Amino acid sequence: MYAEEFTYHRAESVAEAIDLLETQPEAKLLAGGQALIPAMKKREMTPETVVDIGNLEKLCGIHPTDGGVRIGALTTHSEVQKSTLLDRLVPVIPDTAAHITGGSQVHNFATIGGNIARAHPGYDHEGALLATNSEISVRGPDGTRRVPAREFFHGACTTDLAEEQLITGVHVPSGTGDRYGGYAKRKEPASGNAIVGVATDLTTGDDETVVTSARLAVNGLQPSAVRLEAAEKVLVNATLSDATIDDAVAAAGDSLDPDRMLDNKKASAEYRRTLLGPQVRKSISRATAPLSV
Amino acid sequence: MVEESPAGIGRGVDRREDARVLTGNSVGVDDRNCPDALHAKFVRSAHAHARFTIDASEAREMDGVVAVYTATDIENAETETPGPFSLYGAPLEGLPYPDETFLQRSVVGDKARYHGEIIGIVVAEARRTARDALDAVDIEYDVLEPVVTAADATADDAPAIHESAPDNVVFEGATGDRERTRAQFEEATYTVELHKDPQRVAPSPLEPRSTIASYDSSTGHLDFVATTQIPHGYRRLMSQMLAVPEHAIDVTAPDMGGGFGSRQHPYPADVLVGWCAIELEQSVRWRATRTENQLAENDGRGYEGTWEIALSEAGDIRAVRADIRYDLGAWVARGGPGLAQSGNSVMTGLYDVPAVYSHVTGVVTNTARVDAYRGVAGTEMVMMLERLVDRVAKKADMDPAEVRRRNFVEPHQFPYENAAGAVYDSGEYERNFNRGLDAVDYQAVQERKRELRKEGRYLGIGLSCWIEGAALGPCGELDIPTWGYGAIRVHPTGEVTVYAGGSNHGQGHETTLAQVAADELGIPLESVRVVENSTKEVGDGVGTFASRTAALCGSAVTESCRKVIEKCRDAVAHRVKAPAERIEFSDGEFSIPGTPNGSIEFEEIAATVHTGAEIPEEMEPGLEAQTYFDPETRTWSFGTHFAVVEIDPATGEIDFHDYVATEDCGVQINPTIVEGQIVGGIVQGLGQALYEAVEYDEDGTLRSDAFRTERLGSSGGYTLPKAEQVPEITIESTTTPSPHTPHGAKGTGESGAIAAPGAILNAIEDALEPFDAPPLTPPVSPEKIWRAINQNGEG
Repeated sequence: MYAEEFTYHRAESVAEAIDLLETQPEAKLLAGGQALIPAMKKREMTPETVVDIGNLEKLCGIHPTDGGVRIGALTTHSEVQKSTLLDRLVPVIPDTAAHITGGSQVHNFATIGGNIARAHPGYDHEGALLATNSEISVRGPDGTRRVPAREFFHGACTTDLAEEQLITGVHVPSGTGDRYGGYAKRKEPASGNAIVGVATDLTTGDDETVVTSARLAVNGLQPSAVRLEAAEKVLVNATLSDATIDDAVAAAGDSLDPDRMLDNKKASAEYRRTLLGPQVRKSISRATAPLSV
Repeated sequence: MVEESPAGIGRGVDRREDARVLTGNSVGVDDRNCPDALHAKFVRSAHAHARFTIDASEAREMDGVVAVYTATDIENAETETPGPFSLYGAPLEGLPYPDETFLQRSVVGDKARYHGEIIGIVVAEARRTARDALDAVDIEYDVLEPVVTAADATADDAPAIHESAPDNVVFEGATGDRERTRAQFEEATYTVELHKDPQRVAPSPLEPRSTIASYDSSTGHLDFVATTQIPHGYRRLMSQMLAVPEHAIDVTAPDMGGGFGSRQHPYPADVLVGWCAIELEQSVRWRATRTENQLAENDGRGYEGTWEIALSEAGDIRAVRADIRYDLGAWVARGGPGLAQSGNSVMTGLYDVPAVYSHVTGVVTNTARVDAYRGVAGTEMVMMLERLVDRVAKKADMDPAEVRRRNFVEPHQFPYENAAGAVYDSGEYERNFNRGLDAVDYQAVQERKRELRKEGRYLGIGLSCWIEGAALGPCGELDIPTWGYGAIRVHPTGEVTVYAGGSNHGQGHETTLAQVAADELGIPLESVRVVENSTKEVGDGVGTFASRTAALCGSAVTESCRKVIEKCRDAVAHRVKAPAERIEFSDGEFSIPGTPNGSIEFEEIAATVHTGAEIPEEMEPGLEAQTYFDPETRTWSFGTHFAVVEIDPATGEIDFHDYVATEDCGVQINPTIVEGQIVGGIVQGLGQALYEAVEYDEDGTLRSDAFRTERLGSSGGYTLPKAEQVPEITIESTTTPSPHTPHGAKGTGESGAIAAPGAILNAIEDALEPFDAPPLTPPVSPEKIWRAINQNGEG
């Protein structure tokens, strides 16, 4: 590792971390390091200060709350994947974490906070957070605020986070009724990131064949994740069946802004658009598998 | 001759190497301790084609920096300036060697000709210091227009990379009979033409390149530890280039996790680390980062052009023709041009074809060197041939398997000289082919394909017959030695050490060569150990590449064992006072048939001979032998791969239903190891077919410098295949012994890489037949397939 020289600070509290971000020159946060360290090794990123928040207990853990569940920013992908609480309350999130690339070595270190702070278009959590109407807790010198997911992700590697702020957690609201979720991803073969990944978050009520709420979101298609409102409209209050799913798949791309499609060496805009339908189908099928539709 | 003994030839014994390699205990070059070594880092050109000036004054001032050398500094230094690299041989028979000016120098001072070319060296006390010093070296570039592809390089106004080749053509020549081939094409009922776009691949061994050189000025001894496939060859070349006598140089090659041909020569970096060690009279070490390795290690492949096949009305292949442009990179690499000959020699594969003509133009481009990579040019020739066979069969409305079968060289035709002049030693092509057809259940797959099409599902089966000219020989064909060196020393205990002149870097020699010796001598496998990879411990050698070890080193080891057995036989004869001819040796024991005296075990007589007791007067004590094995001809392994895939027309995704690989490499020393070689080769062939492509920008900047990148807009990285992408592979073998090796083994190791690309491409194109899609260029991504289906054009 031949990073350029930097000063290392280990923050003992969130307040100290924020203070360091404010006062130290060119400071970057170190959580799991799975994006930062490779970049520093290659000198693609050269922060003068590295603020290690890996020890902050307050940012760890998955806890039930009044309105749902809170996932601490430092929760690793392994912990998210294995959480029986999340699997019960909001299954799309652990299913998404299971599809993040890197295997157990990366999953044991990489954190949900680091993942969403980086907001790489090929990463996987954005769609699930949009689909679950989650909020991201952000803390800075001016205090704490909660940002709805749809306002947090601005574009490719761009979020609502200011330089002296850090993510402290993710709040996922409970649903009503039985909740189902699934994530289906077409992997880019070298990086393992998503070319197109679709998250489905669905609830059914007393009649388990009728959808009471449906939210779908896709990452990888555009610079940041977007909801698939046209597909959602087909599903809400509909009876789950092959025909309904076919209609949702067919409608999936209708609400999308065609000018915002990603178009690059990994895949063209046209091809990504083509993948959307099949990925939506896989995602809905995955989510509804327990219902054996 | 070759009986199955408990752990001898033919047994799939576990590899001795595996325990350390699989548990993270293998020791690579960079793992070696050398505490007093200085650290070198290379200043590399950031541009593909540029003149430059270097100001290293700031770097030299830095704390901990010992020296910074540019080409001028090296020329002015006391230590002799390194000489240029040399070549294995001429590109094609009858062609002269490429001009001396195309041979790479270790460091350049006038202009850089590829992104990453070495233009200076920093030597420092710590690795980090050297890295920081690189940033302090000030370079001014006068960027020149680069030519990045062979097509660009041969265009009308293309800038010349070397003054001595104004048109960037370094050689041009042909194999075969042009007129005869032309006549065949004119008469043939069916002809097909297929174009190949360039595709370069990066061999990607596990350990990036690394060199440690230590120079003892009091003895004049220069010691290397390096990522090389050729310790003895490396010594020879370092001696030439650094002007140090060969006997004063030693080379050791620890575990490096593969070479695949990219390390069958030294590199400028190796020479310069050695030079620094001499100049500074100290140990100097260097290791490439992965990025640096991708940048500067040789690429493989590099062919583009047009291939054609001619078929008669009855289905006989009458001729094969190729017009090839060969991208050599900026400098002509040691083995690079010679690959044109080896490629042309296999252009008819397993078929009896009366006429061939292959015209190859070697072109320089502003990119890294191109040289050997598993399968070498044979891969491209076989891939194109097999694609053509499928296409022409379909054009003639014939079954592609039938066309292959009717054209195979037949057993009675061996030794068979093909129209390109290669002499195949032995083979039973149809027998082996039938094994594969059965294993994949060919007719059933064809039937299923037809059924599934009615349901809107697209299955395809692709075949690729392959031939591998393994174990180069006889000596004199190339400008390097090609014999195999194998020596054995029998210890007083009867245990044996085998000294092999190759270099084990994943092939399992510690196991196979022990099996060979154990088999010959009739002793337990545990009694044999193998020493290799070192000029210090092994008297002579050539290295390991071109699938040579089983046939060459293995044969040398066998012959050395037989020399030892003969000496023991004479000692036994003396002891029992009987003529040597009456004494038999079998299963590790000497005996006289029909006598009640019993037998004498090898270990027992070995002890006697070693001490010199009870041996004939004219016999020397001691029990060891060495052999330089010079084969009469190279050996030719063969087989066929069968790939069955399904394509999802909506997304272009590929799903493997089956993959069968047949192999005939003569007698297999260790079938498990042979299978490992096949599978590894298939994975690399799969990589070439579906994933891998070295990527240079228009300005000659290498883009594919990492296996994984998150750079926005990039391709995601140089895409090596992952375990989850590899299909289940069924391997079937037949055994047609080589008549030229004592144990009947042929070379093996490259077949998977040679056959897989053609089989996979043929399978995909077979699945896409209803869509009348244009030919696909590898690497074939799902998007490319989707475009071919939906737009009748390629992405």
